[in-house]
Amino acid sequence: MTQEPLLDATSIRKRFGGFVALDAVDIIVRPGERVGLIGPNGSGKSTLVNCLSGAITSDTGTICFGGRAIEKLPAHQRTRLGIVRTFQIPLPFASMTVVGNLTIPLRFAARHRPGGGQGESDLEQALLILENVGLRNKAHALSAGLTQVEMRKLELARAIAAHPKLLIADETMAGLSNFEVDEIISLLLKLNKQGIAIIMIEHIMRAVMAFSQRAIVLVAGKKIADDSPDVVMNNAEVVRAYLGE
Amino acid sequence: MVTFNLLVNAVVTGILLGGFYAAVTIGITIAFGMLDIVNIAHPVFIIMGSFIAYIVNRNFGLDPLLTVILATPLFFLLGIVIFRFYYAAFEKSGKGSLRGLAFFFGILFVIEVTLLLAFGVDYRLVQTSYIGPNIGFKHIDLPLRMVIPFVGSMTMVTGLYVFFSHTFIGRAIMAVAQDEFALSLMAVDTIALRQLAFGVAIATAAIAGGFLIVIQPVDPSLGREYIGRVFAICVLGGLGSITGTVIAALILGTVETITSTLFGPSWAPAVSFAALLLTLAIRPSGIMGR
Amino acid sequence: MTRIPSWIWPIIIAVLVFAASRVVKNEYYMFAGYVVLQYIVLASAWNILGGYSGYVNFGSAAFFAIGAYGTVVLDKLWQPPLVVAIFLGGIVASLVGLVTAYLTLRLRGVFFAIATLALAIVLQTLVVNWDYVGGPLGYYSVRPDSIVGFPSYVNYLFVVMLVLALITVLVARAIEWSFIGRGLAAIRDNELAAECCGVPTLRLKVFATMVSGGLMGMAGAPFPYYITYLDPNSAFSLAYGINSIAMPLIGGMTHWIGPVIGAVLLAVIQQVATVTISSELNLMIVGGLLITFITLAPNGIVGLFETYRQQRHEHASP
Repeated sequence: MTQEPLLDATSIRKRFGGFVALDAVDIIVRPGERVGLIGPNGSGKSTLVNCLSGAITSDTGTICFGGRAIEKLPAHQRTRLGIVRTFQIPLPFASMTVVGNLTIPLRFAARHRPGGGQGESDLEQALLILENVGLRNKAHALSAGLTQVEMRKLELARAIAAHPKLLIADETMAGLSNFEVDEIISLLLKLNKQGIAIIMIEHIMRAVMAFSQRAIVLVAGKKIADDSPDVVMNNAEVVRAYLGE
Repeated sequence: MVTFNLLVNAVVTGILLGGFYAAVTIGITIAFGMLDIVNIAHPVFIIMGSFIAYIVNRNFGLDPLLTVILATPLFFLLGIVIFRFYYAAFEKSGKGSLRGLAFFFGILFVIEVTLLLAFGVDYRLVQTSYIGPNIGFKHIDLPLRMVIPFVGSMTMVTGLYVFFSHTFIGRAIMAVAQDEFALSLMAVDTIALRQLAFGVAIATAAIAGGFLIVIQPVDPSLGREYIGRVFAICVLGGLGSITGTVIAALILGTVETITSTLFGPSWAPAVSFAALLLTLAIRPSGIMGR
Repeated sequence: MTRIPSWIWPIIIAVLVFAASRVVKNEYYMFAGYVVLQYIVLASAWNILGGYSGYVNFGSAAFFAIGAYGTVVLDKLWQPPLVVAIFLGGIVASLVGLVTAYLTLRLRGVFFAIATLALAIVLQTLVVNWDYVGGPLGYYSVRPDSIVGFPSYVNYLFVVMLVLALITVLVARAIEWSFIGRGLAAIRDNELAAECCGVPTLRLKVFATMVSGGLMGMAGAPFPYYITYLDPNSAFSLAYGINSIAMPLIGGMTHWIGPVIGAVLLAVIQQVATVTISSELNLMIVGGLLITFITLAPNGIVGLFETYRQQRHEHASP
C-alpha cells in the first residue's frame, strides 16, 4: 500500500564553513509512520532536524510536507503546517508556568490548523495534555523549577499542544532511567495511535528498536541505511560506524 | 574644487586614519568579537586615556604616548575589575548579553559625566614635537601627528595578532572564544582566560587614547562618535577577526576622509553608522566572517 | 466588592490630573509636568519592545526627533493643528521603525541594539546637514499665544501630553494582555523555542517596533512648540536614549505600570537635581541608578514589590 508521503525531503545539503554537516540526505516519512533516526555524535542528526523544522536553511534540497514545498518557509509556518520538533536541551519559557508554556503553541500553532482551536478552551486543552504527559500536578508551577525529566515531558507536551502531524522527538530520553524511558516510549506510542507520525532521534538502541517501524542511519552527514530496524542493526556498515573498525 | 592632488591626499590621510581606527577597535574585537561582551563603553575608556595623557602632558610635559604606555597596566587592572563585576553580576546567572549591554551603557554615562564634571566641555590638546610638522614627498603631505599613531597602531595590532595566534595563552583565549564549554570540561580555567583577555582589551583603550589626543583635540563627549565607528568596523571586519578589523578600519577611514573632503566634515559620522546598518542588513558576518 | 479592572485607574488619574490643570495657575507645574508626562510616553513606548520582547532600543532619541522635526517641517509648510502634526509624526516614526526592524531584527538582539544607536546618529547627522530645518543652528518655532478652551498654550500642551500618556499606557496594557503580548513574552524567554511553537517572531517584533517607535514620534511632535528653540543636540539628546531604558528598568519591565513608576520617579529626581545641583549630574544619577538596579534589582521596583508580596505570603502561611 503506497501512501502519499507526509514528509518528502530530497538532497538536503548543509555546510558550515568548510565542514559538510549534511551531504545529499533524502528522507521520507509516511502519515502515521514511526521512524527512528540514529547515528554517531556529529553525524548530522540535529542539523537535519534543524533543516526540516526551519531553524536553519539548507544550502540545497527540497522539502515537501503534505504535498507543499516548505523549504522557503520560516519555522513558525512549518510548525503551523504540522511539523513540530522538540529540543535536545529543553528550552522552556522560563518566566511562564507549565500551563502557560502550552498556551503559546495552542494559540500560535494549533489554532491555524483546520479543526484546531475549537471546542474546549486553551486552558482545558492544556490541562488535558499535561494529564496525558504526567505533568498535571505541576500545571501551575513555574517551568524554570522543574526537574530534568519533567522538562523533557514539558518539551513533549508543548510539541503536542501544537497539534503536530509529524513530531520530531530529538533525544528526549537522553540520561533518563529505564523506567522513565519506558514512560516516554509509551507516551509516544499513544500519540502515534492518534495518527501522528513520529521521527525519534535517539542513542538508546532498545528504545529505537522497540519503537520504530523503520530506522534511518546517518554517518558523517550521509544516509547509509534506511530499512526496518532488524535489517539496519545487522548492516555491517552501521555496526562499523558505531563500534569502529 | 576637487583636484587629483586633493583626492590622493584624502586617500592617504584616510589610510593613516584607518590605521588609527584599528587601534581604537581592537579592544572591541577582543571584548565583543571573541568574548561576546558588548562593551559599548569602550570609547569612553579611550577618552579616559586621552585625558590622562592630557593631564600628565600639561603638568609634567611628558609625552602622551609614553604616558599611556605607562598607564597600560592600570587599564589592564581596571579591565579585570570590571570583568569580575560583570561576570559575577550577569554572566553567572546566564541572563544574557542584553542586561550586560544596559550595564555598560550605564558605565558609559557615568564615566562621560565624570569627565565632564572634572574637565568641562572644552576641547583639550597636548603639546609634542610631532604635532604640527608634516612629512612631505612628491604631492603628498603626511601630518606627522597622524603618521606616528598609524605606525604605533599597526605595531600594537600586529603584536596582538601574534599574541592571539602564536602564543599559548593567546591561542587558549581564541579557543575559549570558540567553544568555552568544551574547554571548561577540559579543566581549563576559562574565566581566568576571559578575564585576562578583557583586561587586554581595556589596556588597548589606554594606548588608543594616547593616539587620539595626538591626532585631534579631545572633549568628554567625543566617545559617542566612536561607538558606531567601533562597532561598524568590528562587524564589517567579521567580529573576532583581527585581520578583518584592520581591513575594515582602513576601508572606513578612507571612505570617511574622502566623504569629508568631498562633502564636508559634518557628514563623516553618518558614514560609519550607515556602513554599519548596511553591513547588518546585507552581510552580517562581515568581510572575514564565516 | 467587584474588582475594578486595572485599566480604569490610568483614566481616573488622568481625569484628576486634568482637573488639577484647570485649577492650578502656576505655569511652572505645566512645564515640569509636561516633561514627566513625556517620559511616561517614552518609557512606556520603549517598554513595548524592550521590556516585553527583550530587544533593547538605544535610539529612542531618533524616533522622538522624527516627531519633533516632522513638526518643524509642517510648521514651515502650512502650520496644521497640533493633533495633525502628532498623528503624522507618529506615522513617519512608525515607518522608520518598520524599516529598521525589518533590516535588523533577524539578527541577534545585540545587533538590533547597536543598529538603533547607529540610526540615531545617522539621523542626527542628516538633520544637522539639512538647512531647511535650521541645520546646526536650530529652529525657532513661534508658540501660539493662546488656544480656544485652555488658559494658555502651555496648558494646552500639558493636556495634549497627558492624553498621549494615557493613550500610550492603555496601548501598552492592551498589548501586554493580548496574544501579541504573550507572543512577545515567549520571544523574550526563548526566541528559538517561540518560533518553533508557531510564534511569528519577526512579525511580532516588527509590530512592536512600529508601535513603540510611532508612540515615541508622537511624543516628540509637540516638542518644538514646548521648547520654542529646537536644535539637533536637544532633539537627539542622549538623555532620551538613556532615560527610555533606565525608567522601565528601574520601574519594572514586565508590567505596564513599571515604566510609569520609573518615569515619574526619575523625571522628578532629574528636575530636582537640575534645579538644585546641575544638569550634568542628572545623567550621572540616571547612569548610576541604571547600573545599581540592573545589578541588584533587574526586575525593577515592580519586581521588588512582587518579591516582597511573595515573601509575606510565604510567612503568612506556615
